[in-house]
This record gives sequence, C-alpha cells and structure tokens, in this order.
Amino acid sequence: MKRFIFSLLACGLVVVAQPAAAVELKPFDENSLAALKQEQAGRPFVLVLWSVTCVPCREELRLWNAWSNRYSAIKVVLVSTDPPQDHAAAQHMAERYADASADPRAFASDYAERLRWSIDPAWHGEVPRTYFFDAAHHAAPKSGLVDAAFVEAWLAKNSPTTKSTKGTR
Amino acid sequence: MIPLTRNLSFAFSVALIVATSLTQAHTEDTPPTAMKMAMKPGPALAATAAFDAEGTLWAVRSEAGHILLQSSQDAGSHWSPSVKINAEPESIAAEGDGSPKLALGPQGELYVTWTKPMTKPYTGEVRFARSLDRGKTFSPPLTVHADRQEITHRFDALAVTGSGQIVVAWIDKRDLEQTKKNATDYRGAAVYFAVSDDRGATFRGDYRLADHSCECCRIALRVDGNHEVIAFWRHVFEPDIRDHALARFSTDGTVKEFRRATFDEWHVDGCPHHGPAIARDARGRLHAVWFTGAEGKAGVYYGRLIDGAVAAQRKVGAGTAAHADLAVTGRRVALAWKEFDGQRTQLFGEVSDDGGEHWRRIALAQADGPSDHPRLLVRGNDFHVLWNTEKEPMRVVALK
Repeated sequence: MKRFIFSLLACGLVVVAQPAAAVELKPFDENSLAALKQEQAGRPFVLVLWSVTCVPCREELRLWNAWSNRYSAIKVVLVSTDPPQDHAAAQHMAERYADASADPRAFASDYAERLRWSIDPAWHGEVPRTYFFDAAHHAAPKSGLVDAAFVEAWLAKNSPTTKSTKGTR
Repeated sequence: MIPLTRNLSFAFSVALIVATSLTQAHTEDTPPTAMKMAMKPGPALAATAAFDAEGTLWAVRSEAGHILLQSSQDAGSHWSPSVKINAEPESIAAEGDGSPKLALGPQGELYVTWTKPMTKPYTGEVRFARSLDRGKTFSPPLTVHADRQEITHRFDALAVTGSGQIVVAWIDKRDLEQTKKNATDYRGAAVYFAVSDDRGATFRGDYRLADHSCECCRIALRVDGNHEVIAFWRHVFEPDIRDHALARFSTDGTVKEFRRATFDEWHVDGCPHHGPAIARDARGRLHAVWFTGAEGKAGVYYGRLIDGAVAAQRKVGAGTAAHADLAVTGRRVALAWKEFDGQRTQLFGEVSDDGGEHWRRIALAQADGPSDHPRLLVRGNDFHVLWNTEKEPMRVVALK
C-alpha cells in the first residue's frame, strides 16, 4: 500500500510539476526582440510588457494567456519589466495568470532604459504596453489595458487562414 | 487541471494536493535556473537627499532590508560611512518613484519615511523614523497610518511645515477595498495623509485628501506656509484620464482646495510609474514638471499651474526625457531630468533666474548603466542634483 501511494504521489508530481516548470521566466535582453523577429520571420506576433506593481497588468496577463491558447498560431510573448530584485514576485504573478503558451520572460538587467530602447525608443516604460507586430513586423503599440474587441479583430485578421483552435480548455 | 482531477480517485486527489504544495514550496524557495544565471540583484538605487541649514547634505537609500543614512560636508564629494536607520531589517520597497524620503525639521531633526511591502501583492505600510541628535541615533520605526489592513499604503511623501509639523501623504486603497466588498466600481486609489505635532513621536490622521488617484506614481508634496501643504499627483479623472490633480490642505486635516491641474487628456488604464514635481516661487507662481503619454504628445512637460489651466506649457528635453524633478529658491527655478540616447543615460538641467520666463540648459553628467531618478537639492540660492548611478554611487553635481 505504501508503495502504491508513493507511486501515485510520484505520478501526481509529474502531472502537477509540469505547468509550474513551464512558466519559468526566461531572460529578455537587448537582443531578444531582434531574435524574436528572426524566429517569427514573415509571421505576426505580439509582445506584451507588464510589471508586478501594475494592477491592470493582472487582467492583461489573464486576457493574453487566454488569447495565446485560442489563437495558438500567433506567437505571444509576455515580458515582465521588473528589475531583478522583483523577479521572484514576477515569477509568482506569471505562474498565477499565465502558462507556457504565452512564453513568459523578464527584463534581464536593471538598465531598463537600454532594454526599452531595444524594443522602442518612443516607449516611456508605462505598462501594460503591447506591440502588435504584423507579418511584415510593422508594430502598432498600445499603452494601457488592451481593448478586447480590438485585439480579437487583430488576431482574427492576422491569423493564418487555417485558423487553429488548438488549446481551447 | 480541473477537468483532469474530476476523473481521478480520492487517493490520487490526495497525492495531487501533496504534490501541489511541494511544487509551490519549490517555486517559492528556488528561483528558476535561467533567472539565477542572468540576474543578480544589487543595492537599490533609489536615494533622496536634503541640505540642512548648516550646509550638511544628508541622504537616505536602502540595502538588504535597512534604510541607510549618510552625510556629506562638501556637497556630495565625500560621504560619511552609512548608518542603519532601522536596526531590525525589514522588507523595503525602494526603486524609482518609490524611494525612501528624508526631510529636516527646524532644529535639525532628521525625519525619514519609506514603504514596507506586506505579503500580498501591491500591499504596504508607510514607515517613519526620526533622529533628534543629528543622525547619531534613530527612533524605532513606526507605522504612520492608523489603518492596519493588509492593503496598499505606498508611495510615501514627506514634508515639514514652517512651524515644524510633519506631514506624510501616501497612496491608499482602503476605499477601493471597501467598494470591492460592496461590488461597486472605484477608479484608481486614494491619497491620504497624517500629521505629527510632536516631532514624529506620534501621528494623527488618517485624513483623506482625495479619491481616485493613480495607483503607481509618486506624490509631489510642498509646504505652503506655516500650516498648509500643497500636493500634486497623477489622478484618474473620469473615465480613465491620467492627468494631474492639485490640492491644498491644512495640517488640521481639512482640504482647502482640489482641482484638476494638467490637461493632456491621457486616456490609459495602466501604470506610468512616472510622478510629477512642483514648487512655488517667491512671487507665488506654481511651477511644475510632469509626464504624459497622451497620443501624439508623449513626453515630459514644464508649465505653471494657474486656475483651470497651465501657462507656458512646453516639452522638456528630447523624446526620451524622463523622471524630471523641479525646485525653486526665491525667483530661481531649476529642472533636472535624464535621457537615454541609445548608448548611455544623460543628465540634463535647466535654470531660470526670472521665475520661469527665460531658461538655460546645461548638460550635467552621463552614466553607462542603471541610474536612479535625478533629485534636485537646494542650498541657499544654489541648486544641486543628486544622481545615484550604479557606477558612480551618490553622485552630486552643481546646477548653476
């Protein structure tokens, strides 16, 4: 019996540990956007910047997590702009509101100006901040909690014709 | 996860609960390897300073759970070793707009405030400590507000009136929490304040200054006479306009005046993390700097706040200008801000000798690495700027 419970436990660990491990924040540095553009060449993608001290960002994360599951053909990257000392808190918040489908990352240094410049010199650091990159990678930035109708329309318009419905949970 | 557990046996559910708590313990204690490799937290850069009447410069910043005090006899060229203000380490929020604050009393008292985050996200307490012996010893920290709910009390601001009363203002979410319970809506947060009449031994309050402030920007607080104070902060005007409000209040707890003060029409449901600054000159003019992200005009602005409008509003610096501060002495007005040029961060200043009519611009310093917001300091008729940077800590430059 003991062994039986142990194997159940081990089984449970595998099932539960997977999503948590998958929400690991990866570093976002000044070359990350260029790398993303290369990786997504010819494809649209969305870059969402957020922070742990920002209340509307909770809703923003929740929404993007749902959209990234629903429109799985469009890459969504969620990036915490928090400095390294706040990354533990960012990790918790990302785990709470997002899963691996939304590729969570965090600013890799506290030289925020440099990282912001690598994304958009005209961005002043307000969050949430969302960049909608179309297939040609022309970006339309939005500050503040996104307008759901706008996003739905954009995602529908920019999704490949064989629209994926994978991941509706 | 939920649909999965529906089909599982009781024993398996128990195993799941155990496993879940194990997983949580793991994530709380150990940061993921990728983060560990790439990121090393350093001391917080957020620092504040002030000159006393004898010309000694005092400064506070935080490191490893302590607020540290330093002083300089030569306007920041050389600093004394640091003294710990709070003997017991505690959690401290100290970055950017949430820096620890320092102000001096009329007899050279040192008053210090900071924000102590609590366990839940966004929550905090505003803490206060004082020294009556020029920094040799500090009182144990006390919590300024009477409200002890684990909610937001953050972004402390500190001022001392001409009569020596201490005023502390902060961003407070008790009204938001209350409306949540009643399932009604509440825009933003609120600004509250408390007053000490006994050199910081005790505080009375909590007085509500205004409903519907922005949740994540510093409050600019300036004494306006013996018993009055002006506050200037980012507000949330209906429905979602994050422009600025101005209020004048008395140390007896009454609000004398509240008005909208900037008119950029920035509609945004988000966090600018970018608070304003204000000061009144000898002729009574109110000078201000602030940031707006309003469509087509994003940037830092200077202007003079008059009733129902802004006079002489103009953009400050280049497109990346950020985190401007402002100070006044007599009819002289000074601005300081930073700008990232793609390679390094530049510190700029502007001075006007005639109450804001004519200005001259001066390049002050540059930094290759992270830096705090610049903080303007006044000594007699002179301006200085404290700019704490990672590579040149506690740097002070004169702004002539």
